[in-house]
Amino acid sequence: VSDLERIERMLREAAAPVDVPDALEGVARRAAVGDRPASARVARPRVSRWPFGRLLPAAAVMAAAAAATLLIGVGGRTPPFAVSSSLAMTGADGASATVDFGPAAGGTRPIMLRVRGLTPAPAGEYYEMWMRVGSDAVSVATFNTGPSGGATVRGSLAGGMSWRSCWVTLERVGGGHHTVLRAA
Amino acid sequence: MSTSCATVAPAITHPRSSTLVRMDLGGLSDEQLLERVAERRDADAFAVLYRRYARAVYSLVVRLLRDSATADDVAQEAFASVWRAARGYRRERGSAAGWLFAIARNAAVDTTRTRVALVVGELPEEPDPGPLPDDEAIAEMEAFRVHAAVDGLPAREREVIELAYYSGLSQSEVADRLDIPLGTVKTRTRTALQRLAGVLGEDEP
Repeated sequence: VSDLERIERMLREAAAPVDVPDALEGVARRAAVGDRPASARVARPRVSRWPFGRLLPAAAVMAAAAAATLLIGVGGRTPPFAVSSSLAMTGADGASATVDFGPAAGGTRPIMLRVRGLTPAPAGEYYEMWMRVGSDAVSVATFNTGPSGGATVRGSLAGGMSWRSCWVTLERVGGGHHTVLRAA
Repeated sequence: MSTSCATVAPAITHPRSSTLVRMDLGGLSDEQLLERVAERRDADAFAVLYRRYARAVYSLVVRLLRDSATADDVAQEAFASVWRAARGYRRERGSAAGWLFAIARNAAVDTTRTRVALVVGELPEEPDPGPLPDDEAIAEMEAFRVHAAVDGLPAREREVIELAYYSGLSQSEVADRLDIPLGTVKTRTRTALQRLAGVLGEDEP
């Protein structure tokens, strides 16, 4: 009897578990089994691009995302740069991306992200590219893909910035995200 | 916990999951599954481990982070770490449950540390009257073991345990909710508690 009482006490003290989102199994399985020997760290602190982060109304957030994309330009509309290094990212269902880095000049380093096979984000969601700098996750660009699943986005990094990993998330306006591409 | 969650309820598959796995893997202990992941890169073994520990890992991470949005990513990365680091598991050093707990907790704590660093200027002047860190870690491990053990119960036993201890229903209310006789509720509850006692009976080394 005392043994069962002990178990009852443990059950009460443990409190109710939190139900796991249905999508997590597939995401975790792809992140694990589909993962290369990544340098990806477990922690994922997030640094918001916008001062008011997710408190902004959805429309304002989407407008800011659109403005950011316009500011960094879209591939093909700006002259190419000399590629000094590249990396590849992969995701589920054949999604992939390459990131080209140009030489640092004038305090900035140009980058070009080319995405293939990534389903267009549904309404209220968008893609965001991140890089880990030190222990922080720094947002690099927001974008969406076209009907073909492709996108080309140009942007820039601070010239002296050294980074450790790179990934792309599907972000939901108002909160929530999961990783869809990560560096090979 | 030297006995694994699979020891008592070996043939259970989690009804919340839709992924099909080979049935023979359900009879393996956590340690055997982890070794298959390490040695054969067995995705089905990984899926069984996920089913057994998903709620325990997720609940631990949510408890530590208090942020379900970040918890999704941290839990995802914790399981990715299990896959990547499985070769580093050594059965002689402890149970698979303890190893999984450490991976999930480290994942969450790493994130918490970074957050603390970002708000270092806002530290309180008074000491925190809450439980000491060691006490918290023990409580976290205990909850982790309990959640995993409950998820390993047969479905009929698990539902009465969850309604009684997680939802706070009386046995009569559980009987009404499930539309089964009160005696059946009592029998299932007692059987489940005995099964849990077998799983949770030994202390984690």
